[in-house]
Amino acid sequence: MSTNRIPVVARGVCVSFGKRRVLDRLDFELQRGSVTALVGDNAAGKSTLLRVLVGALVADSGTASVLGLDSARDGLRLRAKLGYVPDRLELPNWMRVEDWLRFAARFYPTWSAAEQQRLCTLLELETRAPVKELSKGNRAKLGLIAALAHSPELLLLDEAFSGLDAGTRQRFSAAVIDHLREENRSVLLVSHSTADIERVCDRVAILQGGRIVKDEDIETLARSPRGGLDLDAALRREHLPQEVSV
Amino acid sequence: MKAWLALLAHELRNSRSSLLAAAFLQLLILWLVHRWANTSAEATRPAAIAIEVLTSLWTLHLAADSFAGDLASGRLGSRALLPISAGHLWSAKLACLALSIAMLAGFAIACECGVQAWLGGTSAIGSFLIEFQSISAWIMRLALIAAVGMLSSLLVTNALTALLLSGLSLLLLWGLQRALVDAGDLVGKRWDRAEWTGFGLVVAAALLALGLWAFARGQRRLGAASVRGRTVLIGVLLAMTALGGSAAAAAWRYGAYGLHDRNLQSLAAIASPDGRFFAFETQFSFSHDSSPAPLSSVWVMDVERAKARLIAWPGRLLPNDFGGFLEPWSNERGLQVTKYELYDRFEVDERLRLDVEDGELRERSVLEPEHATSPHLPDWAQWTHGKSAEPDSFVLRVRWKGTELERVFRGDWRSSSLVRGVVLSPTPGRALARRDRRLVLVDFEREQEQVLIEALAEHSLLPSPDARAVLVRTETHTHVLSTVDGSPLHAPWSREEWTAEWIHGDEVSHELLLRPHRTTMPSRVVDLEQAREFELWVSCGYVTRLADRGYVLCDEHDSLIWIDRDGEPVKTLLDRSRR
Repeated sequence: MSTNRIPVVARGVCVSFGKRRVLDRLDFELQRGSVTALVGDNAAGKSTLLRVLVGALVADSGTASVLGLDSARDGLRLRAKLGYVPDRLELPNWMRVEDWLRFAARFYPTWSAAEQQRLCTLLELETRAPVKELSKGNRAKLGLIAALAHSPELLLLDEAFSGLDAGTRQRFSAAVIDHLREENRSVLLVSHSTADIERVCDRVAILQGGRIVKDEDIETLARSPRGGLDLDAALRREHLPQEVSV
Repeated sequence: MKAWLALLAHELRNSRSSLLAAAFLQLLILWLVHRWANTSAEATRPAAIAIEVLTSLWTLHLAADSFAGDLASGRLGSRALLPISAGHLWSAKLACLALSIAMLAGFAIACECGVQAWLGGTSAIGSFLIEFQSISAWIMRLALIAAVGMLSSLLVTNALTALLLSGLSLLLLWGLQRALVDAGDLVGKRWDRAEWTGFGLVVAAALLALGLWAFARGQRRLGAASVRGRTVLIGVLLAMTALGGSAAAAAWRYGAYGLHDRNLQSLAAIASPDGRFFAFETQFSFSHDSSPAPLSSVWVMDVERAKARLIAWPGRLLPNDFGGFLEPWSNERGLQVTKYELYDRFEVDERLRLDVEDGELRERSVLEPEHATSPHLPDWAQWTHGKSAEPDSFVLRVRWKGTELERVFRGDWRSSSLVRGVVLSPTPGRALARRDRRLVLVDFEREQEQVLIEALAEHSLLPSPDARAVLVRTETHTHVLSTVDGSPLHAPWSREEWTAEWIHGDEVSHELLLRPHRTTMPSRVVDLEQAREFELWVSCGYVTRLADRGYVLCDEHDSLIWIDRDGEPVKTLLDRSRR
């Protein structure tokens, strides 16, 4: 399924919101088969970068090539090939979980009902549940299932784990993320949780001042001067605030 | 296609509650209409109006809510993250709106047809359906409302605000339509219903295309609302600039070439006391009937310099109170012109008075029109005119002042009114009147009325500008009689050959223009005072006396030509023969 090409290549990407420049000539490459955490301050532009990569936002300048497609021009084809979980999933109140999944399935040629069922069971999400009654965590589960049921070549997660309980996080990382890694597919996730990053990621990219200032193997980044691994301390050294680990 | 249909089904489910509420309200209102009406036949018109109005309101509501709520809540954003193009999102919304309107209108019509069939039989359905006079015009109105509503819905994130914005935008469109009507007048373009329908549909399509463009541009950009707003603003500004430019070009064309326009028609003229100037109205004429009447304007021609000047646009020369004659251009009152608002032809903008001073034309504003005493309303008579006890009948009572002598004239409005049915003579106690189909001379001092002419035609009396003579039309001939004693002033003319009318511009002589019915024959001028007549070399639209300078005639091309007292051409003032 996967080819040997680099799944994400961003070159000189600039995005401004009014007078504020969110992304400033950003360069970034996502390694094939890697699970990379994108970390940075609040409003550093992490979600904006993900939206540029999925073609939901057109950059002011620069290029982003994702799975060999130009995200600005081929956003439609691109979104059919990747999985994206936004930080906020808003759905009509009349819907049930199954309604949204059935609706989303129409737009993905590779959607698998069996995979959908497997994910629902794994994440323990009741498909008859009305969307309006879903908790934050269950809403995140629905986003994850919709992003994964079509077996994407690339998975982009925007704080998708926030709201999930510890058990679900562990089951998800073991059954899904590891599976994707084994299939040499790539994952880029935005998270403030060092525990999540340590559990599932093998690389960390730090976004500061609109640019990727560091993109390293997690072991290299987290290696402490005393010899052990301490990601918290490493991120503090980069002046990044951390969420309480779960 | 399957994906798009899924999107459409999703949209329809989103509007399900609104549709159900609208359908229920429609039923309720139709029920109220039938409760109010005594019979099903009486309910057909109000029911059709109710359906048209309600469908317009639902369209406005659904269109205004099409994007606003979804954008504000982020639901549209979540949907847009699926592999769906902006075009599909937009077209599904539009199709959902069109289907919803069709379903609501169809449901209401079907319900009303059912009720009509139940209460009045199958023929009643036809009576009801015929009340929807123009389906295409209705669809055009709904399309415009839908387009404006959807566009407004893109700009704000609140359905109520979008509703208000739509209302204001529709008012703006109505104003633009009025401006287009007036701009059309300038360039000689009259819009019929089919053209308005077509134009409305094109505007709706343009607005929808603008909406799609704004939506697609804003969909994938930060600050999407402002991007959409900017895009719509640019689109609207471009359209307004194009429209404004066209109107300005039309106005410039009118001012520069108005008199040479092929569709412009010159109406009756009136000359200054010295004959140096004459004022005339112009109006665009069209091949088909049009309502309202096109704008007219007033020009003044300097006969010596052959130079025309636009005085009022739109504007009219002031008619007198009776008979539809123009007020004379006198030294005492000048010439009075009414200038109207450009975009409201019934609203007076300014009243002007024109005078000739030292051979130059002077123009100034006056507050109120100043009417001259009409010779058709002589001092010796006082009168009352009103409805009589009989239906459709009026009564005119004329009393000779200072005496007990009175005459009563009964008949329909025309035959019982002064000037049109009863012509009062300048000689006290005399009048010519229409009694049934006879013309009689009424002498207030004698009981007996003298029958002058039998078998009068409709609209048979046309008094001269000084009221001393009257043209009388029978079925076959046109006579000219003195109002003093009813004696003929000339042998009658056959109506098959000639149309006779008074020449204006000199209120003391009796001059007539005879226009032939055969266009190959020339017109003739008859001077009853001097007992002379001469032939013109063309068939004329009208002739106006220019005091001692002669006449100005308007020929079949609407060219204006100055001729002398013997009918010989002096100067072509305005040549429109090559238009």
